[in-house]
Amino acid sequence: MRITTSMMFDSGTRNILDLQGSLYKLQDQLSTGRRILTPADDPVAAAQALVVSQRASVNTQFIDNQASASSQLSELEDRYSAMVDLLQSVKARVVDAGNAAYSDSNRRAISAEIRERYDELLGLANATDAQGQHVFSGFRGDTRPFSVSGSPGGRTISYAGDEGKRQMQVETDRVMDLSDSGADVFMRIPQGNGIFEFSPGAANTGTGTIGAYSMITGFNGSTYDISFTSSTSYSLVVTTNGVPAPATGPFAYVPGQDIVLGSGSQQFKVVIGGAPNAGDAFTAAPSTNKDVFSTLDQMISALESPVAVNDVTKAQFRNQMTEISNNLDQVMDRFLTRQTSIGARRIELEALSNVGADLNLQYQTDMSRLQDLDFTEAISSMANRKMVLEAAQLSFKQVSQMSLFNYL
Amino acid sequence: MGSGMLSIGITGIHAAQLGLEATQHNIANANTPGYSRQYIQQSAGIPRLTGSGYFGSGTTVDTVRRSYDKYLTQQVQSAQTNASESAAQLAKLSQIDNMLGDPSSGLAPALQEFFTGVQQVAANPSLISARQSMLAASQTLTTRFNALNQRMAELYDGVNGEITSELSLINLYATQIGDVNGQITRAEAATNQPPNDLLDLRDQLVAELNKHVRVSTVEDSIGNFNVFVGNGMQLVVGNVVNALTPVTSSFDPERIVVGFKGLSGTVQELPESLIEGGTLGGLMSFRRSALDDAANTMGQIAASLALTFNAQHALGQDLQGLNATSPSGAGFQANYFNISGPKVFKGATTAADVTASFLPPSGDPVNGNFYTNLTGSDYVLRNDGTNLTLTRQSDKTTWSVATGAGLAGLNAAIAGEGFSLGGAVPTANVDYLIEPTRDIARNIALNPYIVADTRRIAAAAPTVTTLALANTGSLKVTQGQVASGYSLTGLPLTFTFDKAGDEYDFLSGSVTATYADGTTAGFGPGPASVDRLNGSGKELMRITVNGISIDLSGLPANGDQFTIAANLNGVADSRNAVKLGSLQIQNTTAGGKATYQATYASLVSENGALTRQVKITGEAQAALLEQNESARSSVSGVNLDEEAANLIRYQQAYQASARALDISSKLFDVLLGIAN
Repeated sequence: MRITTSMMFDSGTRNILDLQGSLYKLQDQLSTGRRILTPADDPVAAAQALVVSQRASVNTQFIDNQASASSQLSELEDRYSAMVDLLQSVKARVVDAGNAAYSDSNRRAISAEIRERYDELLGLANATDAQGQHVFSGFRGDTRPFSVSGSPGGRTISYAGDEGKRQMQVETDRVMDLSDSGADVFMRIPQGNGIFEFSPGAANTGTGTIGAYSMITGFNGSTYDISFTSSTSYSLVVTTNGVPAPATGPFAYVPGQDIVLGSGSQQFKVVIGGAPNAGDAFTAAPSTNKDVFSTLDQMISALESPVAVNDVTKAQFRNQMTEISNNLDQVMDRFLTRQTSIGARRIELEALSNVGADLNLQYQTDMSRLQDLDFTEAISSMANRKMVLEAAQLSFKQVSQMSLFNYL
Repeated sequence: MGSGMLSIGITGIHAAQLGLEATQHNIANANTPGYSRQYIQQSAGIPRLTGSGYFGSGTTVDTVRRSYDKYLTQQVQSAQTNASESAAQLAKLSQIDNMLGDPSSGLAPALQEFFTGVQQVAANPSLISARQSMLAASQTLTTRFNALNQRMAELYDGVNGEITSELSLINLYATQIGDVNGQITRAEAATNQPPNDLLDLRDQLVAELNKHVRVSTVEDSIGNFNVFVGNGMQLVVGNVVNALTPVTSSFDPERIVVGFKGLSGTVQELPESLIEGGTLGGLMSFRRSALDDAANTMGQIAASLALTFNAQHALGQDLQGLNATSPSGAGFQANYFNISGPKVFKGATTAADVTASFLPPSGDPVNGNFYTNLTGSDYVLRNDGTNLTLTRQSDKTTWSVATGAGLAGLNAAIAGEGFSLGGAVPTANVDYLIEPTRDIARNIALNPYIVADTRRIAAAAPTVTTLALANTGSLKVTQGQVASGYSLTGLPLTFTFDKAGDEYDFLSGSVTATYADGTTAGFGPGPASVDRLNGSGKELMRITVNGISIDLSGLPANGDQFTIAANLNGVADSRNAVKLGSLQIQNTTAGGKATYQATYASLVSENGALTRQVKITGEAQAALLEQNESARSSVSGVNLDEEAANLIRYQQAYQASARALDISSKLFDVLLGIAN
C-alpha cells in the first residue's frame, strides 16, 4: 500500500488522541471509584443499580419505621406494666378486705386507697404520648378518651374514642398495629369467668354465698335460675333464647357442694355456701361486659357500705368481693393478653430489623458489584495504556523526522 | 539535424519544467483536504520521416491528470456521512445519559425522598412538622421533574436551532456545488482539458455536504454533479439549487422540521424519517428515537405518579375531617398533584377540534392498588371516511372502529391505553397527533391549596368501625377501606347479630356480602339481614356498603353489634397515608407491571443502551472512515518523499535536456567555425 505523508501524521495523532481518551476515562474511573460513569457504560447494570438503590432506600425506611414502631410499642408496654402493677395491688386489697377481723373503718381505709387507684388508672387510660396524642383513644388522638360523671361509689365512665388502631408499615407486606383502643382495653371486659357469671339475687334475705364456679365441658349460653323453695331445696328454670323451660326439681341443697348444671358437652358447675332462705335466688347467665372503672367503683361502694350489721350484709359483702375479684381477674387477663401481644410484635420487629440489616448489607454488596471499579484491573490497564501511549509518541516522533528532503 | 536536436532539447526542458511545476503543486498541497495528487502525462512527439526512417521529435506534455478513484472517493463520502450522524447523535445522547444517570440529580433520589416524607406523615399523622416535611419533599420531586423536563426542553430547542443552522450550511454547500458545476462545465468546454483543482474542490464540497446530510450524486453527460437528498429530492441540478428550509411541523408547532423548496416556490414538509446521515440526520434521529422517548417516559412516570397518588389521596380524609363526601367548597382537596391533560395536535388548522384526557387509574385499594395503563408512546388518530383509526407510534398497533361509532366507540376499544378522546368528530383525512405524556413532567405541580395548608393532606380514612361495648362474642371487624365513589350516606349503620337466624340485621342501605369461597350476594335495601353463612356453609368475610368494605372474623354472640360510622376527630389515623406510602413499592405503572422507579430504571437502561450502541457504531464508522480515507489517500494523497524523488527526476531531465541543447549549440559552433 502506498503511504502518504498526511496518512502518517493523521494516523499518528489519531492513535495518540484515542489513547489519551481511554487514559482520561480510566483516570476518571480511578478518581471516582466508579466503574459506571454514565449509564451507557453498562446500561443493564445502571438500571439494576437504580432498582437496588430504591430497594435499599425502602429497606432503610422500613428499618426506621421498625425502630419507631418498636419504641412506640415499648412505651405502650410500659403503660401496661404500670396498669398490671396497679391491678395487682388492688387485688391484694380485695383479699385484705375479705379478712373477717376487719372492721368497717378498716375497710374504709382500704377504700381510700382504691379511690386513689381509680384516679391513677384513669390517668393512665387518658395518658398522652410524647406528641400530646392520647394513647387509648383510637384514631381520635386529641380527644380525651375517658370521662367520669357522678361521685365515687356511683360513677359512670364514658368512652369518647373510637376503635381505630394506629398503624405503621414495617415491611413490604406488613402493616403493624401500634395502639389499642380504650374500649377494648378498659370497657369491653366480660364479667364472671369470661364465659358466664354466677350471681346471687339482689333481694336475697339469707346468708347464701357464691363459691368458685367453672366449666366442666362447656356452657350453652342459656340462663339458669336457681330458686330456693326452702332452706334445703331448690328448683331450676333454664331459659334458652328468652323462653323459659318448665321448672325442674326440687333438688336437695347441700352447702358447699358442687351443683352441676347443663348436660352433655355443655356442663358446668357452681357452688353455693351458707344458708339461703326460701325465695332466695342464684343465677348463672352468659357473661355481660363491665368496664374496669365500674368494677373499682363497685369495690369502693362495697367497702364504704356498713358490713358488720348482720350475717346477711356480711354474706352480701362476700358475694360482692367474689364478683369483684372475678372481674379483676378478667381485667388482668385482658391487660396481660395485650402485653403479650405487644411483646410478640416487638419480637417480630426485632426479627424484621435483623433481616433489614442483613438486606442492607446485601444491597450494599449488590451496589458495589454493579457500580464499583475493580481497582487492580484498572490500575494495571492504566499502566498498560500509559506504556502504549509513550511508545506511540516516541514512534511518531521518529517516523515524522524521516524525510528525503533532509538529504537534498 | 541541429535544429531538430535543438527543438527536441527544448521539448525536454519544457516537459521537465511542467513536471517540476506539477511536483511543486503537489508539495504545496500536501495538506489540502480533498486534494488529489497531480502528474503530467507525457508522450513522445510525432516522428519525422527521413530517408533513414522515422526520427522522434522530442516529447509532448498531453495533459496534467489527477490520481483519482471515483469509487474510493464515494466510499469516503458515504462513511463520512455515517460517522457524522453517529457523532451528532452521540453528543446529544450523552447529555440525556449523564442527566438521567447522575446519582444526585436524577429522578431516583427525589422519588425516594418524597416517599420518605409520606412515611413520616404515616408515622405521625397529627404532626404538622411531618406534614411540612412531606410537602418539602414533594416540592423537591415536582421541581426535579420540572428541571429534568426543562433540560429536555433545552435539548428540543437546541435541536431546533441546530437544524436551522445545519440547513443554512447545507444550502451554502449546495450553492457552492452549483457554482463549481458551472465553472467546471465552462472550463471543460473551453479547453477540453480537466480542471483538476475544480474537480477536487467539488468532490470536497460534496464530502463536506455529506458531513451534514447524506446526499447522492449523479454526473450528467456534460460533467455536472446532480445532488439528491432524502428519497430523490433534487438539491442541485446543474447550477440550479433548490433550497432546504426550516419549517414548523404542521403537527407540533414546537418542532422545526425540514422543508423542501421546489422550483415552484412552494415548501413541502419532508417526513423526519427521510432525512438520514450527517449531522442533520443525527439530530433528527436523536430527537425521534431518544428525546421523544425520554420526554414521554418521564411524563409517563409523572402522570402515573400524579394519577395514582391523587386517586388514593381522594379516598382519604384530612386533618380537619374533610373528605370527598364533604360539601363542595368545604375545602377538601382530592388532588395532591396537579397535571395537565394529554396534548392533541391537528394536521390542519381548519380541522375539527379533538380533545384527550387521562382515564382514572385502574385497580382499587380494596383488592390491590391503583395503576395506570399509560404507555409513553405518541398516537395518531385518523378518520379516513369509513373508519376511525388510532395508531400507537411506538409499535404501530392500531385500533379501528367504523366512523359511525364515533369517538365513544373508539374509546371503548382503546381503554387499555390510559386515556380517552373527546370533542368533535375528527375531520376526514386529517391526521391528529396525540402526545399523552409529553408535557406532564413539565407541568406537574403540587396542589396550591395543600401547599397553603398542610392539614389538607388526607392521611386518614373517612370511616371507622366500632364494636358495641356490650359485645361478648369474639367478632372482630376491620376499620374499613373505601373505594372510589364511596358515600357516607346512611351512616352510622349498625349491624346486630341475630343468633336465631344466624344473620346480621341492619336497618337501611344495600349490602354486598363476600363469603369465604369468593361468592358474593346482595342483601337489602334495609331493613334486611345478611346471612352469616352462605348456601355452601361458607362464612361471611366482607360486607360492602356504599363502597365501604369491612372484613369480619370471629364468632359473634347473640345481640353483638358493630357500627360503620364516619371517622370523627380521627387525627391519629394514618390509614390513607400508609396506603399512599405503599404506592412506592407497588406496581403502579405500565398496566400494573412496574413500579415508578422500575419505569424510570428502564428509561435509563434504554437510553444507556442506545447511547452505548451509537457509541460503538460510531467507533466502527470512524474506523471505516479511517480505512476509506487511507484507501483514497493511498491513491490520491501526496507523499513528500515521492515528490522529492520527482523533483530530482525532473531536475535531472531538465539538466540533461539543457546539456543536449548545449551540445547542439556546440555542434552549430563547429559548423560556423568551418565557414569562417
